[in-house]
Amino acid sequence: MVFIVDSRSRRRFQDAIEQMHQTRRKVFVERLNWKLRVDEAGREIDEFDTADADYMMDIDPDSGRLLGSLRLLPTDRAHLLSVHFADLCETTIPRGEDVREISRLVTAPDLPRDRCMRVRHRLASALMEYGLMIGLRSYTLVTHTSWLPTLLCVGWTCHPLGLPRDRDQQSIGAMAIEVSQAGLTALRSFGGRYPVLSAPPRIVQLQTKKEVSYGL
Amino acid sequence: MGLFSDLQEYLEVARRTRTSDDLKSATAAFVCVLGFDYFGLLHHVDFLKPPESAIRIGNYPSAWREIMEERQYFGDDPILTACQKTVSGFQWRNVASLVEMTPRQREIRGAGAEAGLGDGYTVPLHLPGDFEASCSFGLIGSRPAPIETFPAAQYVACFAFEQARRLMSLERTQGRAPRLTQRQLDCLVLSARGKSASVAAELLGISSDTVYEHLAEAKRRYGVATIQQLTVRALHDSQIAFADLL
Repeated sequence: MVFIVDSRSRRRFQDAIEQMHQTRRKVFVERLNWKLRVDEAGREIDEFDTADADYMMDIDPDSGRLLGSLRLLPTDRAHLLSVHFADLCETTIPRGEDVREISRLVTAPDLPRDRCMRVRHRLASALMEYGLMIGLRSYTLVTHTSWLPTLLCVGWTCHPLGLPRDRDQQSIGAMAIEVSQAGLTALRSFGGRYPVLSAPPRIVQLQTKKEVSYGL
Repeated sequence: MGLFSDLQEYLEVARRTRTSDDLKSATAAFVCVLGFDYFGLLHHVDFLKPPESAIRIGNYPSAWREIMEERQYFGDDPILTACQKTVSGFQWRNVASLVEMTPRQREIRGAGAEAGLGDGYTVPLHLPGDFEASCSFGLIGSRPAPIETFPAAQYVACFAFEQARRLMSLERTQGRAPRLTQRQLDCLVLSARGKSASVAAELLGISSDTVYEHLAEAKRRYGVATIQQLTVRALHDSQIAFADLL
């Protein structure tokens, strides 16, 4: 089940947030050797992990274990693409209230490969569901070119924002992912047919209200 | 900006292709814009016994394709071997830095040069759960490889591969659905509109027996027993449309 962790629901997810920062250290710093800061408790946290950041987390409902996560940054202020990777965009950087940037996408390091793919797929579906729910136009992200086939294969529509460039001897590029009903349909035809996103708190509240009024 | 907008245009065209042949022509044309002469997008599988879902699209010079097949070079091609050693694109003339070449592999490179193949660039495509794959861009003759378009070639490789995968799965599902002949469709449409076999026969200028035969054969192709089932299946497969029936 995928949860949206935003400033309102953050308290409920403290344990998962801790797991996420530890997983990010294990995968990005220890396995992939990215040069990122790690705090004294072993968490990978950067300047964008602020109150502005939302997270999407795939959590095993039985054990509470974090299976995968990603970060969503608002693009109407400083974010990774505008601060560190602006040179990857030949078009203007898509920004605004209806664009979120995806970063720090990670799955638990010890998951078997097929399970790992399912987690990625759930997160991708959750991104589409969430985007449609709150009216996003697109997501942006920076990716290694070697990972692009994996990014594309889930079935959504991606547009490069510029040509890829070499950074630290690896080719990276900036992408925009279209949010559309067709994208969600494609994702569901590859993976599961059912919604994966647990309703975010405010939507749960709306539904509860409705039920009450029907009761009266 | 020029190269990038050309790339965007290619990606849009590629995304709209509906057959692998269309994808091949679109890609072949754009490969020339990138300064190459031919390309090959393929799953690394046994080409003499390829699995049904294997992708193999390209316009390699036919003389070289024949040599490859005749001498069964595919399994040992150093370019394909090199793809297992790296996740990044590489220029063919640097392949020796990735693979310790066996005599047979040196023979293959030599035979390529003899057949007029020049330098080239290959992008490995690693996708968990799928066969190894790659997309290669090649030159004929001794022109230097267009290094400045390698980044664009990386995107062509990834996006063409994804489109080829989608088309393959589309073609396979279409391949699985039985096809009805025009006459079978005529009979089906008329009975689904509520016409009796004798009226349908009159409208089509054939005998009622023939109408029954066409419908029986159509049901047999779908493995169904009734006209209702046949109508639903043919509608689902878009062999007939609601507009035909209303």
